[in-house]
Amino acid sequence: MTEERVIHVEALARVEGEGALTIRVRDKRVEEVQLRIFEPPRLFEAFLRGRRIEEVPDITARICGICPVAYQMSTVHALEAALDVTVPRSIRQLRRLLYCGEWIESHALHMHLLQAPDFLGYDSGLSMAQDFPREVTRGLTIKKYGNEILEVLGGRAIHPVNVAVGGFHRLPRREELTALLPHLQEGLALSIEVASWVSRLNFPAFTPSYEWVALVHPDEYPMNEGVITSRTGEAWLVNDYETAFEEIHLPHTTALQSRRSGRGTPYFVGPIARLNLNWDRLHPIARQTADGLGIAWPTSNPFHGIVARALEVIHAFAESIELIQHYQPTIPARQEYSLRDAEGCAATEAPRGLLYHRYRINREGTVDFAKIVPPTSQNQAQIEEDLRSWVTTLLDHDDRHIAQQCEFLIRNYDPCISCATHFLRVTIDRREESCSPP
Amino acid sequence: MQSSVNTSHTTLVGVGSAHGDDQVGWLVLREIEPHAPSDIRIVYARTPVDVLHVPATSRLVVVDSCLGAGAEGTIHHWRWPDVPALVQRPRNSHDWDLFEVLRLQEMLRPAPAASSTPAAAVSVWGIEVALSQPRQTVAPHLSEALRPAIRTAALQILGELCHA
Repeated sequence: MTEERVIHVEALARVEGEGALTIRVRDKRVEEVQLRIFEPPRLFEAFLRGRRIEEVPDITARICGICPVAYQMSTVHALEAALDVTVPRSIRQLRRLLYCGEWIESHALHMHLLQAPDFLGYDSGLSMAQDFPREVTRGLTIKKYGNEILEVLGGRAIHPVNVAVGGFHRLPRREELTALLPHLQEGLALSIEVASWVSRLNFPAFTPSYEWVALVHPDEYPMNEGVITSRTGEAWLVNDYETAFEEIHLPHTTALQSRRSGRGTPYFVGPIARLNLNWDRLHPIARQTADGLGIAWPTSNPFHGIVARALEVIHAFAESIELIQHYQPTIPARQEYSLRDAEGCAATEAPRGLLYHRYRINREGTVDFAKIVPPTSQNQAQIEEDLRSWVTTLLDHDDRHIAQQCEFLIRNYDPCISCATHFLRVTIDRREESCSPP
Repeated sequence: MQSSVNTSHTTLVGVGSAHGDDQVGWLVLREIEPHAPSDIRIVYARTPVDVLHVPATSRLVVVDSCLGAGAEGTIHHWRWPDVPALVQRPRNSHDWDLFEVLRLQEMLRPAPAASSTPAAAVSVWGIEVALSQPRQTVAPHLSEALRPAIRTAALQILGELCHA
């Protein structure tokens, strides 16, 4: 007799995307895992054609409400590459500060309201808050301090409007930034507490072999610049991204899946990959904190993602404080540029991982072509691989438990589809089939 | 508008922005502010989650734009948690909507005066807007149809602030 178990996780419509999962198990073997993501951000590539390049950072910011800065950063760096614009160090530093604000607010939200409930056995951040009010309040406070950076530097906390090709529309006054310091100092202390808290969570023993991919910069923890680097030791200039990685269509998803070119293998982007490949560039306060947490880095356990995020939040607070302490407004706020027919690309490190943009522009100053590869689509194939291995260890459990654990695993990647705490609604289809012996 | 009643520990929050019909939460506050009792804390919030960071208060009054529960300009008033399920339906997944925030706030910080004024601890005012649909331009100006509603809502909220 052949036993087939089919676990369906139905699609739920969300503003920024839809996720669905089907796992087919036959005779205690996982036959098929399909994670389907339908990504509205894909439509933005078409929206951008014909738009003026000055509009592009504000349009791409709308792709995501949690990580708009990432889209803006990849946009302006790609367009500046096309226009052969080099921004001065002061602008570069301000862009890192803006990215720090985003990492703080995005990671804080994910750790406290999306991922921690999985570890602590709650079905939502709301239900967890009842028993862990101090921790949730601390997380929301940290998120608020990240948002404050975005408000001052970006003009507003969600979908900032101050980022421009060539720099910023307006530079903040020094006192506007120094006013943030008390909260940032407090946030640094709180984030060290958070790292200690999350490191004591109960991590499932699950350590697949991953190909981590992240930017690596010689002098700093990567945000806006660097060489794309793999755990394998390979490295590529950003210009070569599309030769090293390819996007493919699969019948079960309208999203493109990224894989290594030629090999067709998945790879892993995000905080764990960044941390594993950039450990010695992490801020000393974050490294010192990590030394006392009892987790060995590099790690291959995806459930350690919550700790990686906590360490990156420490880094972001510490670096923000230093950037502000050394900040002197520069004139002009924006570099001039001459329009031309050109093409440029850039990759930056979004909270969820590598984010690649490429644009072709013309001498009239409009976009002819745009390509955007978000981290979630780069991780999608790896998530499926993980699920295949993970479900194999869970087959003795009932379908409900398996579905819960699948959500738990998927949320390690902080995909955009999990912006809402419970993005997967589960229905179980059990089927048993009698077969005649051959 | 006039007021004389002491309403200590009351916080009035307007959720909004500087754009289009989303301004209504702020515009209602601007109507109220010159006439509000002096000890009322007034907060211009950009997102619902800002409500979580309002200092402890015995009475919270929130005004925000809303969509889908009536004709443009309709004014709703609910006393939390007695809010129709239809209105509480989440509409975005990027951040928390107002009612999720109020639920979270209950968990994190029960209203200090809940024992004395349980029904009035949190009051929510919603004004139906129209220009929030996909593909509609977010205009810098406010829809004309909303101007009378803003004035009416301001008067009603001021009445609540002064007489509750």
